[in-house]
Amino acid sequence: MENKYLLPVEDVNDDKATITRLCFNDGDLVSKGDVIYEFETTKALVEVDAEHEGHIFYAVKVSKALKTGQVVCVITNNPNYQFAISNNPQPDASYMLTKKAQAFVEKNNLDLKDLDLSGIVREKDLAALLPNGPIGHEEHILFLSRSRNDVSYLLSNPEFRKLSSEEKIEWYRIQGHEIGENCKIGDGAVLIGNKITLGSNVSIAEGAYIESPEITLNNHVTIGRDTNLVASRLKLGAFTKVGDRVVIDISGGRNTDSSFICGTNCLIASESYVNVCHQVELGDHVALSPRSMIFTHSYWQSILDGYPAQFGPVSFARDSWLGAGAQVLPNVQIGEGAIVMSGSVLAKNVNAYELVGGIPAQVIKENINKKLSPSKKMTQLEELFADFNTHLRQHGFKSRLHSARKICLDDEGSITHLSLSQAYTQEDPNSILLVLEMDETGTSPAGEIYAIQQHRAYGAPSRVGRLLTEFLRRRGIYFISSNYEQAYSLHSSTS
Amino acid sequence: MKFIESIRNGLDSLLGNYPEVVLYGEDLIDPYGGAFKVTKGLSTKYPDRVWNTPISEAAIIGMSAGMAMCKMKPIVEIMFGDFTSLGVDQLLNHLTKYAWMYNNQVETPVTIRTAMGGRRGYGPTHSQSLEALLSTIPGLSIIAPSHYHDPGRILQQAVLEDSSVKVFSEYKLLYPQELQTPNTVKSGLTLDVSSDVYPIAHLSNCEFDNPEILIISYGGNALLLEQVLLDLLIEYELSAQCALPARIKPFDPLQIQHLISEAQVVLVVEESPKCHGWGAEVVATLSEAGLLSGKNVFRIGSAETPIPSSMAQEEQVLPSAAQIMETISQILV
Repeated sequence: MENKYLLPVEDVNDDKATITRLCFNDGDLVSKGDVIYEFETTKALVEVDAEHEGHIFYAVKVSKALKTGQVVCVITNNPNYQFAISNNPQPDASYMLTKKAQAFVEKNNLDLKDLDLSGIVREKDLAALLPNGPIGHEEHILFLSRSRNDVSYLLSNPEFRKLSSEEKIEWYRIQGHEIGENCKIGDGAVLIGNKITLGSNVSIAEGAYIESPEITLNNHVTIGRDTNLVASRLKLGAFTKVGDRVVIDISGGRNTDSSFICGTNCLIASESYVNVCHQVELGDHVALSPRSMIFTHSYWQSILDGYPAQFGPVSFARDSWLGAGAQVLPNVQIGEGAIVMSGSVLAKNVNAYELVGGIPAQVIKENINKKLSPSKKMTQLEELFADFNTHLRQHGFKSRLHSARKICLDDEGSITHLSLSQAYTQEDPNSILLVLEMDETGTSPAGEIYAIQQHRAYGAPSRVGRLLTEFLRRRGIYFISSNYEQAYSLHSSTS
Repeated sequence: MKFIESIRNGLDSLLGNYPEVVLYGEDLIDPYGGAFKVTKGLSTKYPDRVWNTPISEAAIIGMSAGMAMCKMKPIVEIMFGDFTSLGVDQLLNHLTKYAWMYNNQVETPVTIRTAMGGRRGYGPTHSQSLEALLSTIPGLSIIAPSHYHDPGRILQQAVLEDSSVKVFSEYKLLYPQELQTPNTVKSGLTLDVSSDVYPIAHLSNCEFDNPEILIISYGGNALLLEQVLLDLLIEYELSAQCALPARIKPFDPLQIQHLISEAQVVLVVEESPKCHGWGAEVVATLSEAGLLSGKNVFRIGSAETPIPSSMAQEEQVLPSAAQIMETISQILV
């Protein structure tokens, strides 16, 4: 049983009053008739008596201004009573947080109890209440903290670059950076940042230089030789491959968004140049072909002499492809699955699934992709499968097509089955996965798995496996290989 | 004060102070006091100048032309805005033409009050907003205040100072609304009303500080838009401002010129179909004034169908806050 005491209306002209005294501590036992709190209106001090017996718990603090009708305290038989904790709004609350403000409260662990809030509260209202004042524009820009010992050591000490991969990794770990398993940092390569996070199996080739206040390279990222990556924030998703002599830089000036954000399975081919005066973002499965260039600023002569100046971010939606030697100018967005032809100069946005080309790039074809039904995909794969059987025989294997979706082959005495099946992955039960299973008789299940739609190959590749990936690559299906992943499991629906 | 009371007071004051003002229409005398009770009490107070008429909108409107030319100031009530169509011949071929045809020797300062708008489940022929249809008649002014204006005062000024033929559109759901002032407006919103004869009300969720979104609308759409402004604030902290001109035809782009410069998105909301609608006129006028270059411009109106009687279906046909939010969030979020 809980009895709520609401702040009464004492004077018709006052819709607020100030609590001046709380007469007990939370949890104290009170009896009927005890004065439990006192409040002050514009005209008088008023004492309030308990009308019930029990433990008292206050919802407010002294000197807090309250609206009439709000809860002041509760008298209950529960000695461990707690007010429902809610930063936000019973309908009668005197303020309401916007979604951004709520996120701000959670991020900064703010206690709103003592703040005098009213009306709709925005993020900037809360930021202004923080002891350090509002977060300024400048502070959003991530700067490399050159006064940090580890950063200044890396910047000034060429000896570090001569260390072995293991020694470098150990040094980074001691400095508090996160480096995953099986990472390699080649000769002369260095990463400089306030916060460096490498996943597992990241490999950074000889002579690479990576400088960013925040560096995140996810699992299986590879960085090529003599590649130079400089940004305010650098994030590369898993399995992304950066080629040799790629340059990312901040010429044109550092801005609040001078970051390079890249999804999973991307390719940034050799000698590409990306300017991150403003943010460049690549979705998943995006490819930048060799020598492609992305600019986020374009000007030279002064605007006071009437010349144009342009600044702005560039983004590539998933599955898009920039052809070799193509250039992208500021403020351009490339839609999902779009293709920019080699050598083009792109000054305007590209819609999803468009083929554009030329200088300046024009739309050449729309809707270039086709949505194939799962059965159509299967039929197409069955044809490839039959061709692969022929291919195997040309390479001296004794193979035969057991059914449209199964090849039996005799590799120097051991019998191997290669089968094409439809399956559902655990992580995404709705997507249909086409897999090739290699099944060596007598040994435990699948030695190698090729998830065709995911472009993933699992397991150490055998000779047949290498032939298979090479064959499919030449027919337009590529794989990114990785070591066998324990977490991966399949439920075959057909075999 | 409520919207309906403000109009009733305005009528009362006009009848009380100006003997040339008469008020008539269908079923508006006591005890019934009109279908929406706007005129309740007035026929008792002014029995010789507040009358009931037979059910003929053509006659009601046509008769006003004769009275106006005899120096009277008639105010007529058309029970539902949908029925003004029955008086369109009088408006189109008579009232709005006389001054021009007779070389300004006569004028027809007639005010036609009528209830417009849906969301009450009144079905296809009692729920429409015909401002856009009527606005194509040259010389006809259309006034459609919201509860952010003072409709009674605007009505008085229109009757006394504006010698054009005027349709005074009253949105049905506004009648019971309390009139809002800068002090009573909902938390999170700020209101500013200009001092023009036909004022423009500005409602902002960012204290007029360079809104990213400008929504232009009128009348009862204000009910929808105050919710949209709050939703934009709470969901995304997007700054938005709503411009509600009291007179929607002629539409004066100068009244909102200063608001447009910072807005990335300009949205025009009306409850009638957007095809050939008021929004089209607003966008064209602003565009001709060179105010819309580089902006994302959208019109939101009702579906191109009759308005269903079922309120659930009516909700689907008329513009909704969710629809407006979606349009904006696709551009800015």
